[in-house]
Amino acid sequence: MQAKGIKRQIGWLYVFPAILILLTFLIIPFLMSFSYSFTNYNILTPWAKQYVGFTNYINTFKDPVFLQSLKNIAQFVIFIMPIQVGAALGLALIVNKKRPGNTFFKISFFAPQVVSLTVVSILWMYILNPDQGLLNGILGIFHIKPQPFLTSPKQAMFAIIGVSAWQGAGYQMLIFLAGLQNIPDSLYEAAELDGANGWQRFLHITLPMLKPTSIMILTTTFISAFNLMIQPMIMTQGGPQNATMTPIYYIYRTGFTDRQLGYASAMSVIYGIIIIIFTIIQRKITNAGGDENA
Amino acid sequence: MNSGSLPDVLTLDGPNTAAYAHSKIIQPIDKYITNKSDILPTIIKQGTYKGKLYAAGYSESSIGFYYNKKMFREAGIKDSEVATLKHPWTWTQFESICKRLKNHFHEPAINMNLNDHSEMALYSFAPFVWSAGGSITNPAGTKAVGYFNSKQTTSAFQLIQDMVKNGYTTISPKDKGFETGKYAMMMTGTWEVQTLQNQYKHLQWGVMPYPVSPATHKEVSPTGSWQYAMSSAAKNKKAAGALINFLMSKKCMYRSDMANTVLPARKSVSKMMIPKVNAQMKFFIKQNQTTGHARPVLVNYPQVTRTFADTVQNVTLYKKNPNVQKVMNEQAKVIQKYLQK
Repeated sequence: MQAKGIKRQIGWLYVFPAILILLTFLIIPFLMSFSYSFTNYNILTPWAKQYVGFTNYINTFKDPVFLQSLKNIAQFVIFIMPIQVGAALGLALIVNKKRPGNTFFKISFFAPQVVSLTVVSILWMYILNPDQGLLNGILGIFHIKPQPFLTSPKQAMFAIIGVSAWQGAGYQMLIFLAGLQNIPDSLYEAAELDGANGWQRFLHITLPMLKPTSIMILTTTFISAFNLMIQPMIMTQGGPQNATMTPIYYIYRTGFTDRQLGYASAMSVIYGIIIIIFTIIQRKITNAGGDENA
Repeated sequence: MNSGSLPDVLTLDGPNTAAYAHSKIIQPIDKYITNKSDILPTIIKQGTYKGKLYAAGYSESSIGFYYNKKMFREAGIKDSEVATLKHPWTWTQFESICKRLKNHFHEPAINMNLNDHSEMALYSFAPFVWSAGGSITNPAGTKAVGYFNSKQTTSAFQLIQDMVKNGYTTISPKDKGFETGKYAMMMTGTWEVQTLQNQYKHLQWGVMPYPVSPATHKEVSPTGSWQYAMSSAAKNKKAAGALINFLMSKKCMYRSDMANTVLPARKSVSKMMIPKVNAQMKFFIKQNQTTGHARPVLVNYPQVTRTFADTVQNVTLYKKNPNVQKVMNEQAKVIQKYLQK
């Protein structure tokens, strides 16, 4: 009995640092934010904040910029998943075959990941410049007329989706590679003997065997996509005409630039709840998928 | 601020005066500043909130229309046609010069930083509004509807839209396009003088003043920069006030403004500086003191300046927003939300 008690205490001791970090950086700030959301906290006058009840929450639902940002992030999430994950899978399939220069390409495809998101954003601003950017220059060779990219309300978000997929695909390519290399060659050999062509082998062996890896990558892409802030902040400042405003960027701007921390806190609580709901839905879907296999 | 450990004296940029004063972070310093009549009126205006002086600006700023002398000559623009403070261009003349440059070089004639959606938008474009006789709000800073969408204000934004529509300027200018001879003109601040003198020595360039509204011929240029203020937490007010007054003194201001190559905030300092600075700085000092107009002193300045920048961007999307008055009406309502009652 005593041994069990001591083991328990030691157990808590081991977990204590992690709990402390979670408390300090996650739980307590969340509770503080939740309490601020019911006030009119202006960061210049912290001592003057007053309780305003649900005013901030009501205003959030009436805020056209916040609502637009929800539409924008939905657009981002819906497109980034197939594009980035598809690109990652495609790149992984390419570098999986033993070819000369494989290592070089593996490194090149992964390289964008090690560059900071801020640098990536600035770099692509130059590439996407409508008048003398590299991309329009290349399109010009194919007689495609120059595109407005970030300066067009219609194209701006898609440009950001492309840039984000470009940066994120490399890392997921490595994960897919590991998954691919775990597929036993014998399966492919057997299929070839049965007369399956390349596409059929991909569809009936590669994809099913990659299912757990794919689900993990889709999940992580899905969750992190909701955090989009840096690219619009640097490339378009949320424009043109709020076409690239995202909830996190808007919350940040409302709280720190506009100094309305109470309102920003309410928006962050609402957005947090939205993300939690989607996470639960997404888990149910993937668990259902997982159960099918069991 | 939260821990009450602000220093006794702090610096703040002009546009933040109202917010800090309203939030009682800084306290009035009227009685500590001597020789106020020597300080430029635009500096006093910038630091005044509800009739009291809260902050004292120690330098001024300006924007110029830099031009490439060689490109002007190539396009057949005579020296006599170049704008000066005595003979500025009207907007009509400005546009016709842009047309000649565009037709000759097949490039936008001027870089107006339309890709910069920061404070630069209001700072550099508000003078057009003011020249036309328009404003962002009423003098009390409580109404935007009827002011931001007035005919005069709208005419300034119509000019911006026309400039983009006619290809005289671009919403995506090339970095260093003026310095490398792509654009014949550039609208930018006094800091460009240093850049050109240090890094682009072979460029033959000059500076021109703001073009003026053809309706009023009123010359207007932007103003404003950093200021000294006293925090409300300062215990020894006399000492803090004396420090600010010392920093604002003729000798101190002359040394810091000369060292930083910035415009003076006192008339006496400007007299001391003019013989010592080059022709371009002389021009900027003169433009600043004869045509300078302070930016509005508003508590929610960050939101207002952002809405101004959004409005500039909206009108540049001329295919989507061809009706400028409609844009101004919508945006005036947005600004109205941010004004104190």
